[in-house]
Amino acid sequence: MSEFLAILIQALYTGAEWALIAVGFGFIARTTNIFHLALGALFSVGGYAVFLLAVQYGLPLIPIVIVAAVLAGLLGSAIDRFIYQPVTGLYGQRKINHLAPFVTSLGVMIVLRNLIQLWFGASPIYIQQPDFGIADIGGAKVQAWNLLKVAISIAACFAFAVWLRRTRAGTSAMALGQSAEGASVIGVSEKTVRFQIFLATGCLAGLGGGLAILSHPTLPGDGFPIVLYGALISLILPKAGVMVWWLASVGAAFIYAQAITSIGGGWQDTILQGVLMLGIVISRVVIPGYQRYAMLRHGARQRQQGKDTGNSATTAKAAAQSDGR
Amino acid sequence: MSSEILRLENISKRFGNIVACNELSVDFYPGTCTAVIGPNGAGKTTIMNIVAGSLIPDLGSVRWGGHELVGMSQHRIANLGIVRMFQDLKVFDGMTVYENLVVASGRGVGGWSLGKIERRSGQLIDETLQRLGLSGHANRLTHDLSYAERKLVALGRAICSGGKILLLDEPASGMDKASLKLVLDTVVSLRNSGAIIVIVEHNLSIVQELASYALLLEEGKIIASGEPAELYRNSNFGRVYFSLLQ
Amino acid sequence: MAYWITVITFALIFGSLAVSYNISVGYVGMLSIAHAAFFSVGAYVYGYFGTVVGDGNWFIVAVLLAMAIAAAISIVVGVVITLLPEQFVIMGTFALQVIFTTLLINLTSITNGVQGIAGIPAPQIGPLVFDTREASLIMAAALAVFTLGLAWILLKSNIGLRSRAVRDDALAAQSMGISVRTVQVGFFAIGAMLAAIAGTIYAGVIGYIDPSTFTIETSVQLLSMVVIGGIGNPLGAMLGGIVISVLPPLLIEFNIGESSAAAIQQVLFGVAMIAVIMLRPRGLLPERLIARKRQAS
Repeated sequence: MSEFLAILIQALYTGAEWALIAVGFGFIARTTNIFHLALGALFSVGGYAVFLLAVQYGLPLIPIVIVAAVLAGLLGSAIDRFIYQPVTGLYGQRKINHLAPFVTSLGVMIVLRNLIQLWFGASPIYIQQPDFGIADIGGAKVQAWNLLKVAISIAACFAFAVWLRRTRAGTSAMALGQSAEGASVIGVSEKTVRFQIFLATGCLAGLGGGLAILSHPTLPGDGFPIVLYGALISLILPKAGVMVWWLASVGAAFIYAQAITSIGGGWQDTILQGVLMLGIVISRVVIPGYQRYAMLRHGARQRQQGKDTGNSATTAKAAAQSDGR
Repeated sequence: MSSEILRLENISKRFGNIVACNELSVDFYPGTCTAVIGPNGAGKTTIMNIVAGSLIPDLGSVRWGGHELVGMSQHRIANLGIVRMFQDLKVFDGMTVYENLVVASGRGVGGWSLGKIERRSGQLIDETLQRLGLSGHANRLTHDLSYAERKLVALGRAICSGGKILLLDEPASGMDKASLKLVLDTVVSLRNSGAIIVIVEHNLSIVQELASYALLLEEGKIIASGEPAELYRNSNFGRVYFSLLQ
Repeated sequence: MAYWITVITFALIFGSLAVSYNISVGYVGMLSIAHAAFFSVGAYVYGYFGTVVGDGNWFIVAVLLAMAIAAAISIVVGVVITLLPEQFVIMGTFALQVIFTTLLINLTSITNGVQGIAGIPAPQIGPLVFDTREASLIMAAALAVFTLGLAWILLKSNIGLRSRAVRDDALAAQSMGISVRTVQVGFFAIGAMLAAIAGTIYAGVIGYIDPSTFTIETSVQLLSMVVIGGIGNPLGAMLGGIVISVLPPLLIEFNIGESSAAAIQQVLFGVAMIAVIMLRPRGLLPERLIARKRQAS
């Protein structure tokens, strides 16, 4: 197998996990303006819930992954209902201080992550990967479980995308993103919709954590850098669709894997974040800056040429100072 | 006060398919109050935004006092003496009424001075508070005031800034009778001291009260202009304002 | 007793760091979470100088150099982040802090990587050598007084009022002739320079530094100090810094194991941050509590 193919395959496996956070983060940010950093902790909640149910209670894997995902989803909705909503208010109008929304989500992430650590300890945990055999792809031998993981991730994100576009709940969620107050006056209940979207995105994150713990050793803080990557991806592509974010997550994972291979030595985080930040700076500073510069140059050139089309509106001269008042 | 004309020449601005300004040219003279009227979407606020520097026009120039304002940053334009009162007020909610006026009176003062500018401008601030009936509210946070009082604070900021060009977006809306009289008297007084005043206003009787000249805009073009009383008799005025009733 | 002198010394250093962070962030409405990076600049500049040269005489030089480096970095970063829409600033500086920590770990020729720099000499200013616990306490107290004093002057002055205008409504501030970018970058740089000074003192007092002190967790702790203490209020930030710094030793006094103590500390930070935002959103010592009322003459 060529090195490129090997890195690409690794990126698919990793990106499949990352996408389940990135999609949720991007959608929540777009609809509620909340930086739901707690998704990183919900990722870990999903993983550790699978560990608890599988190892301590010996339950079968597929059902407990679903249970863990739902648990993470319910926790996500509870976080929104009891913490985010009181802080930001419905319609996001309650202005407290400029750091409030970010600080609350960060606080939730810190609390959950450390509670997990207190319960399970700081050492990595691992569950034996499910054995679905070996698959042959273009001469390369890969674990079938990893392929299944990628398929589950695509299916989950695709289902989320379909829910957004095709169901009443989903379209209400999209309307919320446009204008919460406007949505309410056409009968959309913001509380109900928020419950649904935090549930759905929490389930995705929890699913990601469940898939992760079945693939490699996991630590309580694993979700934290992933939510950061997800946040940066969704900020570079704020108006993108769910599947574009999925692909972008794989792209980010590719950069990460390539960095490990080419440079190694712990630089992969820095390189990936540097690349993502460069993407932000280019898309949000350089391009608009250039557009502004081009507009000013065009206007200046027009003025130099003394352009007067003769179609200008009447030049109105205001009355002289003696207006009698 | 400066005797220079504010000149807008061939200003054009599009937002996608929407034409906000269409080769618009107009001169504003010192010591006058000009009203810009027209239906929603006519381009009134766009003109204000272009003059104040928060929008760059696609074409055209804005000249005043020997300066080309297009492309200049907003704070530099403000420091030249072009002051704005926003439709949504934008008073500093976390500050008291007094502090809002102190900030405004610091326009043009070196940004990094550690001294207290109120020593220099204290008298102007106190006079402004008195004139607008805000002396009793000087130490209250603007966040706690009524809409009319907040609007008076916004107007007070415009006064204390010593602006030579004042762009007032709907100065009369939301005001009770007493506050409205304060607003009208203040605008007249500023005009008489030589400022260029441009108001965007939907209340046509206020326009007649305040403005010596009015521009009727439709789809980014000036379709009629003149003294308000004359303008109201113009056929275009009737078409624009009353066509929905036909 | 000696132990508690040390605890208070570090509490004053971190309190001063929190005040510097408040200047960078709380005064002008910036959303940076990369302040530990500037703290590390100070620590590593003095750590490098002190161990290469071998005595504390270079302390003042190190302070000035650290301030210059912190100013340069903060101005570049500040200009870039003020060009970005608000939501990018938090995540961008978040990523920047993580990148910085990785650089500290990986640039082993300068920082010695995860092993850190040991044997940093006590600071020396002329004939004064700050090599005892009591002397370190005095140095930390002087830093606290200086930082608070500067923060107070900035708050009360013309520029302080303008910074609050920028924080309240940047567009309105621009229409009043205030260059929002200049004010934001300026305060960001001042906070960064103060953080660098705190870093040099920290390195000199503790004698050993490694990247684990200068992580995103440290930046988040600073955020919690400022949020809990009171945004925009220097006394509040100092109070928040001192309270949070004293917490881990207190936990250890209750015989809670060190690794659990760290996790419990983090949980308490998180809960405290959320509780303060929900119940007392302006912090324990909000700005208006200490603002003197202006009297109309």
